Amino acid sequence: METKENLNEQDSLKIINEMIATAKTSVSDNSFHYLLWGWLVLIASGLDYYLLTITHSPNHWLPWPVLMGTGGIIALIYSLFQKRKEKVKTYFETFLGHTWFSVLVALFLTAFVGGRFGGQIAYPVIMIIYGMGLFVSGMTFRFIPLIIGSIICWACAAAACYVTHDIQLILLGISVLSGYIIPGYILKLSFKNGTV
Amino acid sequence: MAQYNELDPILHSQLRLAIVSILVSVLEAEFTFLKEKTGSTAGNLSVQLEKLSNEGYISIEKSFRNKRPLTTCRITPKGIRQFESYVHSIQVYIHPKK
Repeated sequence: METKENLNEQDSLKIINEMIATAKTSVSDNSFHYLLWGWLVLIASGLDYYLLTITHSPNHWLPWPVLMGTGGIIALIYSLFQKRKEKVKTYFETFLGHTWFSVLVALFLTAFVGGRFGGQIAYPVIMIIYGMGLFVSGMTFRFIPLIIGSIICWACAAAACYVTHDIQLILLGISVLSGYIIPGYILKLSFKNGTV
Repeated sequence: MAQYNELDPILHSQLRLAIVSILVSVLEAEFTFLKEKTGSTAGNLSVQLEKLSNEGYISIEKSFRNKRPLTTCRITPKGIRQFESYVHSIQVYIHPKK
């Protein structure tokens, strides 16, 4: 592009439209986080279910702190690495970053709710919070799989209020599979094909 | 009778208008991003960024990342106002009110 000064009004509008469109499409592939947390929660809920119903271990909750702690470290290292490659900061991505940070804080605080009042109360709340994060991302991103995933999370949260702890773990597995893992792979594929 | 305002000479230039149009849509952008999106040369881009910065339309932050110089640009409130006024002016030119 040159420093052409004799622009007419149509040229100006064309430049403005093209540049705004090109900046708006500068969205980075964040499917890594959906897949990381989706798989870790799915594995943790599966192990918890196995330890609770098959081996009847009193420490059936142990996979949660281990896997979530590991996930936190991996996510932090990945984010720091990605930040180095970031050439632009969009309003959209900054907004979503704040949203997911608040989701993370809410989930962390729900662990206290679980510790004080029992896991059976905490699991529906966790699924409600998952659904909120996914819904905001899906609507902002206009990405239907995330919106569908959020609705499934909320449906599972409602159902989880009426079932036993072991069934809640299955519902949690369904939530992350439909809200994180499946949309995560679709998102990854969309970026690969350049359709996002 | 349509009221024709004189177009802002700072923005009425292909590359400077492109830079401001990008910066108005994002929170901040690095030099390399602007160079890639506008397709301009590094030298020309530097000159135009300097001009926009001197006029107070954008702010430029110079730092280092991995021991390499890093230039980050942001639009200022004045830049946003001038851009809005420029867009309004060209709209008047295209669709004059009778």
